[in-house]
Amino acid sequence: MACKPMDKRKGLDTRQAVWDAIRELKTFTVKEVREETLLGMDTVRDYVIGLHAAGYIGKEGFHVQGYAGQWNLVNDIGVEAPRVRKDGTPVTQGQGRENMWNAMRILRTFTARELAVTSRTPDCFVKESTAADYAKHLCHAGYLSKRPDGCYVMLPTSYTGPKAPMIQRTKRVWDPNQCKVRWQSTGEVSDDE
Amino acid sequence: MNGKINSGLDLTTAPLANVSLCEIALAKAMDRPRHLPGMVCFYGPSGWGKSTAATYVSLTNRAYYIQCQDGWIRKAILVNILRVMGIHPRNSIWEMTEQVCEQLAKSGRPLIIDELDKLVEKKAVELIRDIYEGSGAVILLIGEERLPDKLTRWERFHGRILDWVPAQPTDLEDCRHLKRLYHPGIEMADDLLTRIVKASKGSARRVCVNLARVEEFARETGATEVSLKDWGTRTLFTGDAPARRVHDGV
Repeated sequence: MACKPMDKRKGLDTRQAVWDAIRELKTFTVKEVREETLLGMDTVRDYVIGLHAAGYIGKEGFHVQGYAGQWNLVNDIGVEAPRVRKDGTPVTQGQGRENMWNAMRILRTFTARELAVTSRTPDCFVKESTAADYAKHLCHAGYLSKRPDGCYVMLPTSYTGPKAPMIQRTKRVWDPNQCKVRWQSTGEVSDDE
Repeated sequence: MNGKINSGLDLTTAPLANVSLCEIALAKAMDRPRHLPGMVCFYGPSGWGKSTAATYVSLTNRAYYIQCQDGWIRKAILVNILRVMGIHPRNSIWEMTEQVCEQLAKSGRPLIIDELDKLVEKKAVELIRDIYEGSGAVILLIGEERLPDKLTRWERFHGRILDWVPAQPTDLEDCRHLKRLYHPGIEMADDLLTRIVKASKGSARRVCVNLARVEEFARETGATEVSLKDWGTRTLFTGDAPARRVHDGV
């Protein structure tokens, strides 16, 4: 099933909503989480199965089949929802963007090349062109300013939270911390498409 | 070319001496037996690549990272840590301390506090110790050369440090790697790189400025290889002020 763009999901990070509900309930059924989050069956079920495969939750008591039964939280890792797929493996999409967002806060003044180099980890390669594109968009959206010598500067006040702003395919900058569109190429911010 | 570097890390900052030192120190603290202290102090002069090291280890260990500012009091530290965690701060200092400790303990992620020497208030420094005591988290403290002296002076801090790690000056091997990362298109001979290392007096930031100068020279002359002979008597940047921040576009 295709994923809706972030700004069409009413600012809702579904994994986060399910994880918050699970942490609140501690022992739960898929039905209870659905009532709590008002999310669809598939969404909740798939994430619950993924959390189980990754060892964050365990089955409580007797399970007839699959997911229908009681679960409990066995590994509470804090506020941030684990990013796991249905098979329990970690979601790697967006890793480069997350690395860049964290790196620029530490570097504060940087060129696109410096941003690319310092954002690389053994399992995530960031190209210079990717860094340049990301920095350019964040500059449009007001997170960074560009100096005449080509360096980008990030002020501590531009940091809105741990989730990296996304460049959507529609050429918009979406801030998942503030849950709003920070910039779009066409000028006006519209709600429908 | 270099046995230490394998292909996966070849284009990251990991092979730089200070990055690997920092990574090893943090890994040691994460794997320590319960009875050993869990704070690590990484210190050295400005421009030696401490923040590059902090960036790498914070990405690979998913650490929470904050950079202290002049005059920060306890509230500023707590609010900033909670902001990085994505948690809405409660009102009082003790409530916020609890929030920070809970998230650190549950997530098992380390905390990195950079430019710690900017904190002067005794209470602010004691707060860091309280966070450590309350969470059992690994905390990496970063600051300039005098940080160990300061930490020793602050009461009951010293015994909680597992390792004191001094940053290393940039050597030829680091210089080669920086060239590979930032100027992959141009060959620079070892004699020129040796000269750059010497002129830069251990500062990675100055090495980077000098490598950029050589690249500019190569671009102007159309050369793809530059040796000390080609460079001749041209000057290298040796000054104390970081060049990038000097011409500030004004």
